[in-house]
Amino acid sequence: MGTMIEVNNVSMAFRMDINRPSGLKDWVVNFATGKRDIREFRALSGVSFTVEKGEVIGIIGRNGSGKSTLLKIISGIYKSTGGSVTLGGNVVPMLELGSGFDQELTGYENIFLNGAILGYTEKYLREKLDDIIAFSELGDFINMPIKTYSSGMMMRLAFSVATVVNPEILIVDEILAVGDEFFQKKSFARMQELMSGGTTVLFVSHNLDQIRKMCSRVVWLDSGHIRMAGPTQEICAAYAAQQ
Amino acid sequence: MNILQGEKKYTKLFLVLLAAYLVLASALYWICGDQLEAVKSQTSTVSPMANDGGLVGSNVLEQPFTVGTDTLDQLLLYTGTFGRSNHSTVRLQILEDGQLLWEQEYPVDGLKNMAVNAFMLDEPLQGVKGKQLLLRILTQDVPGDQAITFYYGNTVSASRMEVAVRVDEPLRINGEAVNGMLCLSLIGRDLIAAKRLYWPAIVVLGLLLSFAYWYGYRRYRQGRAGLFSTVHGLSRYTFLMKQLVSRDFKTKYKRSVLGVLWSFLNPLLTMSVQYLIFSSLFKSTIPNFAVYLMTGGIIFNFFTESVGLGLTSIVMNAPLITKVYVPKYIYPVSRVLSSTVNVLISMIPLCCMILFSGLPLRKSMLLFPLVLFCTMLFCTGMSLLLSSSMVFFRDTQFLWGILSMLWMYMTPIFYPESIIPQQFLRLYHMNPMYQFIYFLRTITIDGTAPGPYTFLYCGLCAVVPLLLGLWVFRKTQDRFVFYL
Repeated sequence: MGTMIEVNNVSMAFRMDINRPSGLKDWVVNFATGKRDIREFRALSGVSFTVEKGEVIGIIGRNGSGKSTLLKIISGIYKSTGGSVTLGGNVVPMLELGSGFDQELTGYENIFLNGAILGYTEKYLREKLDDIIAFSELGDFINMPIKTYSSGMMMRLAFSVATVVNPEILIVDEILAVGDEFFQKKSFARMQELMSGGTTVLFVSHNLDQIRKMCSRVVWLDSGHIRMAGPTQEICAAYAAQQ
Repeated sequence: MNILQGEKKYTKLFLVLLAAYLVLASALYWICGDQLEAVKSQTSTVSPMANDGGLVGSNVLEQPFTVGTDTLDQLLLYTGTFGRSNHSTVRLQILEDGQLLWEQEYPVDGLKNMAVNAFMLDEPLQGVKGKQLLLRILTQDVPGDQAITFYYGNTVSASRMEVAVRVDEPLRINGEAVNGMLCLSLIGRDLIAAKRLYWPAIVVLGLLLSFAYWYGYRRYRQGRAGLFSTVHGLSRYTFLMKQLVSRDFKTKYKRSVLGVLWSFLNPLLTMSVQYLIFSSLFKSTIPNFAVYLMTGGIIFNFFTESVGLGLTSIVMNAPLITKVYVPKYIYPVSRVLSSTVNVLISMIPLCCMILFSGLPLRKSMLLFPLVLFCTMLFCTGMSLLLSSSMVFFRDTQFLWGILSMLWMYMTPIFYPESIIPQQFLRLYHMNPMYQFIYFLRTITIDGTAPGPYTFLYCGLCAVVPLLLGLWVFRKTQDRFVFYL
């Protein structure tokens, strides 16, 4: 059992430039008039916790408490302004489905493109190709350009590509239940299977039932600070009581 | 992977790289070893204004001059024949203090009318650098209907104007000074040590690279950051790079009837249009005008296309950048690689055109990958620089539209370099695109390898912008996500 994620005193300050120049003209004007009104917004301050291998950690908190910022720092999209994050394996974020798709390409071509963006190897994708296509239930449509798909079809394909992995660290921002009722059940089962399969999971949700069902520990964020952290039942009860 | 296995793998990799380095160095020596000996240069000349009125009978023309190069190889003289077919000869002499240094007789029947004609020296004249010399042109007993004419003048051309020059040492026709100098231009070579220094330099560079490899590997094994671990990290993203390039390629010609055929047709059709429009203007002054247009067009189009696409690559991929971590340089670099694929395809019509124009295939053409590589590095540098600027200032793309147009007119794509005024030439040559296009035209149209200075300039033009682009990109990339 090794430590997979070590979040050490992480803080994040956004510079909110009220007169942010949106172009060269604005920039020159601002520069000439000396008008620069910069305010700092601290989205996170002094957040520290560690996650052991195989743990499923839930992150709860109200809107704007810094959950998504924390996830973005851990997955490397934001660079924190203070503190450090040490990772013990590769991270696969499951933040928003289908953002790497190209409308002009076929479903088949998009599997490879999206897979590459998520960091899969070519060999792995080829091995799992049949699984992906079968899970997405697209059948012969897989050879059609994505732009002819309905939104449900696109979501199904995106979900199939995103969940085929066995990542060392999986980051989930709300459980993704997509498609019709049947596919929703199937995708929920797939998520549960993934999360219980020995991967380390960071899981953000507003649904306390899901958190209770899946997580072993919970971190409660409140306006950028850790309000409480500990066993699931205890924290969830405190959170529910506070609302 | 355990260390022992890793060690074997990296030793093997090192040997492969070393062998490749030596093979490339030898190939380069084989292709352009001769050009390493000396740098060729040509002096400028006065514009033809008046002539000697036709040399009938026996005449002596004398023009003092100095040579600035180590050797003198050719004399270029502006002559006129007025359409007559002449069969006499003309004798050229070079004297120093009245002492004959060189003499040669040339038949005049091959001379072109109202044009510059080259008089090659059988043996290059050596050891005359900086000395006061006298060129003497002698004709003997030329019949009246076979006179050939030499031109002289007292102005130089500077962008549509003729500017007067001081005539210190006028041309003397049969001893009588005229108001002007002979239209004479010298081609000579400066001997340089590059050939002698080539192999020692290759060995020293090889040792330096080996040391860098060993040092980087040691740091890598100690688990410290460095070039080695960066390169190692890159290999993780080759699949993504491949996918992005193939995406660009597939979507580019999607739903067009001719599809990838456009990559062939585009350079051909562009060239045809330019040929139609500019042929009456420049065709006579530029030999192999079709190949001249195509080489310039292909390289410059590669530049504008890759930088234009690379410029927007970060902004266009904003949905991805804000959601998945991928090293951000991948986006501009993959755009440049997509354009490289395109330029490689357009080599096919270029080769056809070269064969069609009857240009001989020379070994110098093997240098093509080198010039393409340099251009690619330059484009990558520009893309990195502009794509990061684009994130903060969306005006960049509009500015670039204007700038790239200006850049096009400042590069000799469809006009000859000779229309650029003398005093701006130095500035004009600082344009990296000029260097790349000059390089490509030298190896295709002239069929020789360019001189060592061109290699040096091309290398600098590739590496300096690349380093600048990388530096700016690295400095700013962490802030991209807040501005997208």
